[in-house]
Amino acid sequence: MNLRTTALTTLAVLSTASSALAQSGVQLSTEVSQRTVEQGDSFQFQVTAMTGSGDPVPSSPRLPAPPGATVHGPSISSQQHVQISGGTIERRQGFTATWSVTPTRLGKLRIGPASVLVGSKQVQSEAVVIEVVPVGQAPQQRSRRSRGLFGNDPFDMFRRRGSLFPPGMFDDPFQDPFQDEPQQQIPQYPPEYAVTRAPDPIAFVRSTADKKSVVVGEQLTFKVYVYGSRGPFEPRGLNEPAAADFVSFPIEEDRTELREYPVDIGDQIWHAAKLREIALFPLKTGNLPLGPMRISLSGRGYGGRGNQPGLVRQGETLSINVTEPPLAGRPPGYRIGDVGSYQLAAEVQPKTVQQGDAISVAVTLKGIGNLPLKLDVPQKAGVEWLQPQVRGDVGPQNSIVQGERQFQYVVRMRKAGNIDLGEIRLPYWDPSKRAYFTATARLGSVKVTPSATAQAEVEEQSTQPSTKLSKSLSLRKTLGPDAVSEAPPTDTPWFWALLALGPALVAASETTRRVTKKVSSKLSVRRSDGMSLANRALSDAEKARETGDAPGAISAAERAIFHGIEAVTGLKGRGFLRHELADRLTEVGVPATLATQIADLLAHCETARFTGDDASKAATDIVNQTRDRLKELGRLRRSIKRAPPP
Amino acid sequence: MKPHATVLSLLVVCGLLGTARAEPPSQSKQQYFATATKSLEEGAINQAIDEYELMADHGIQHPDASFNRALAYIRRAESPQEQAGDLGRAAAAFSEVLTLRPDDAEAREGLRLVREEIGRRRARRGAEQVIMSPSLARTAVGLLSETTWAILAGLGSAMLSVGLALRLWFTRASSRLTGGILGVVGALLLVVSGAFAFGARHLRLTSRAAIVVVPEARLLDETGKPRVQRGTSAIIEGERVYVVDERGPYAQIEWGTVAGWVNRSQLMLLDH
Repeated sequence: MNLRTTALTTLAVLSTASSALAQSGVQLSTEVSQRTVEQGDSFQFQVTAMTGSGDPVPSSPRLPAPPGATVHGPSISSQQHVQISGGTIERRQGFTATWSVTPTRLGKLRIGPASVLVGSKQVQSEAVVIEVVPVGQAPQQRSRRSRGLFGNDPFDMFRRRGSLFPPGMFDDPFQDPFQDEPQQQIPQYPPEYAVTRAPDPIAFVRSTADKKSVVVGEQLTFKVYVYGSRGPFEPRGLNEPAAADFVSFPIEEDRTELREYPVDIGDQIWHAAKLREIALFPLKTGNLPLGPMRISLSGRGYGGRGNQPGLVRQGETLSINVTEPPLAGRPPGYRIGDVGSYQLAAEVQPKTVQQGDAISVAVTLKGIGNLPLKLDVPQKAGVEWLQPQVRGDVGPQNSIVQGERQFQYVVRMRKAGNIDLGEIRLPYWDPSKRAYFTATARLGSVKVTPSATAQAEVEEQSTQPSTKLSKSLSLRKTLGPDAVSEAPPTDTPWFWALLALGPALVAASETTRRVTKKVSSKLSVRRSDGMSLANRALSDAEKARETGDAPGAISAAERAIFHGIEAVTGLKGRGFLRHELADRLTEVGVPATLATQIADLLAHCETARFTGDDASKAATDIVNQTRDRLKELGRLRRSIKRAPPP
Repeated sequence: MKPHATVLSLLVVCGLLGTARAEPPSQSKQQYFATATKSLEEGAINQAIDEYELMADHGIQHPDASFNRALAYIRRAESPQEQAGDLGRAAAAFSEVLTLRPDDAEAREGLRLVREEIGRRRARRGAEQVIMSPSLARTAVGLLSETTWAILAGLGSAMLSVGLALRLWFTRASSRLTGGILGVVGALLLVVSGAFAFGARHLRLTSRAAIVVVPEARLLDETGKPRVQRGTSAIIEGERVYVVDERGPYAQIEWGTVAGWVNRSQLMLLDH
């Protein structure tokens, strides 16, 4: 049922705007996959160009992108037709070029005309007008992508279910038209469709790249597949993957056809189709993104019928690591992006010319990869190369982009003599061999016979005063001294510290000097302080007692007491009589007990010094008492200092 | 007499050691240069450019090779094989010479002539002439080299130290006066030169000089869209800019008082 409907709908919808032109023996026909298309949905624009066996082979199809639409492609498939009629054999050769067009604006969209090159003439196809309608308003074209106009095989529609008759003619009239096809053995499917696990239970989009790391200009093949678990589907609203940093060549030969394969994932049968297969050539280095492809699926189990939105699924974004080919071994003249395998051949005609005349140099570049559009020609004095005409085409063959370009140069020979033209060299990086090679075409020599007119012209030019900039600057023939590369002193870590060091040293020295002076002055004051003197005298007393010098110890202890009195009260103790001392001390604020104890201690010292009885014991007693009294005097002095002023 | 002889002997030995250590130009550098220069003499300009560029790609830098590279680009710019940006690349090569050998008067003159020629060609095309004065900070810092600023700062530091010592440690009035003057002058010199040396270092470390090598480098915003603003919208070929940041294919630049983004491929960075 589905297949039958497909064929009929395709016939109705794939309105073919074909025309045959008999211009210069070329037959051009134009086809579009849809006349009415939804905004954002892609359709195919196809041009077939055929010529007779004696005519030049058509080449270089071009389709200018109209405003309000984006154009991808073309994918080109070559064709050869042989027709036998009336006993004569007619051969025709040519190609079919298919572009994918995605309208971005509503309304009428005029596509074309496309053009092809036949010999030296450019031939144009017809232009086609397409109606672009809002999403959901296009007439349903079920499975229009799943088969061509008549599928791959024009007899295919009669062969369904093993019948040579059109479907329906002898079908069971009571069969449920929506009943699924009887379960069949899963036919073999290409291994590239195999998936071990479905990331989504209904449908998913899978993007793959055959290489994750390439050099600039190296081909990688990007493929996008869609899988559906609910039976056959129709893709709608395809969003092309963004690959702004790549040059792309569509590989699929016929993008109007979307072939579905039943694929087993786990224990379920899925329907899988390849949406895109594109050869990509990175233009620059870095981690370049390959954008996701978004698709809306319609069909039973997916939605998308009538105004219903389809089931939208999106693939993942891939990241391709792009580097430059290695620097080691890179030949002079290598241009980044020249990657593949190239061959050069050249033909020079004629080999003898008169001075001032021109010769023709035809250079053929063929090989694998995105062949460069420009060659470096050898420059010699008296040889003037004009801009070349470039022909030929490069495209995918067996998924590998390859082809041939012809460069047609006109070269003016301004100097007489046997002129060696040198050779044309094209260095390239071969990723399969991981090495640089140089394609070379030797041009040989040309004999240029002198011409008086041309020589006079050359001489006149050489004698004219030159205003050229290069004349005022002379070439340097030898290398002079090497550049001295010295890091500025500011980069050395100690430079900034050193800047501050001198002044800081002087300032630090001065500060040290001043601090030292102040400290020594304070020490000196402290040394002359009464309590310090008292403590020193007590220390002397203890030393004298330890050495057995009892009189010395008593004398020092007495001195310590007097120093202590003076430090606390300011009184010179020696100036008072013993019996007066206690009263005087009490008058200046010393507690009476302490004053009495001090007076007694002094009396004890006097007695011990004069009596001399048991001097050692007395000295020990006096030194101990002196220590205690000095402590009390010290406490008294601190309390006086802490007391608020009256 | 004996000590003098010893010192002389030491000097001779040091000189010999120094001579032995000075690396002679490597063979490959000489070979590259000779091959490229021969191609240029024979008129094979493209080949010469390729060879000089390859030399630079291999990290071999020499002011004379850069000079000849500039000359090769000029010759191509004056030939029918002229490519857009040839004069800008010549200006970049001359600037490279001056970075490597700042006292190369011929390169300085060459750079001036190339910029004049770019201006003449623009005038012939009727293109707008843009004269961009450098920013005040770069002008001030660029008055002297970074090393000179550093030396002046060092001198200022020494003067300040001596001045302080005289002022603080000597009691004679004349010494104290001399110390005061030296101290003030030294402090000023230290602060000003130190600040400029620091500024020069900062600019050197945070930005890289580059030359525009396309006829016009369109000023963009951060997202890569052409900048809509009054006045300057593009930087002309051969102009020196300073790259302060790089993001994806874009470089943030300072061109005089103008700041913006340009496509990185439109610039040639001056590495040194």
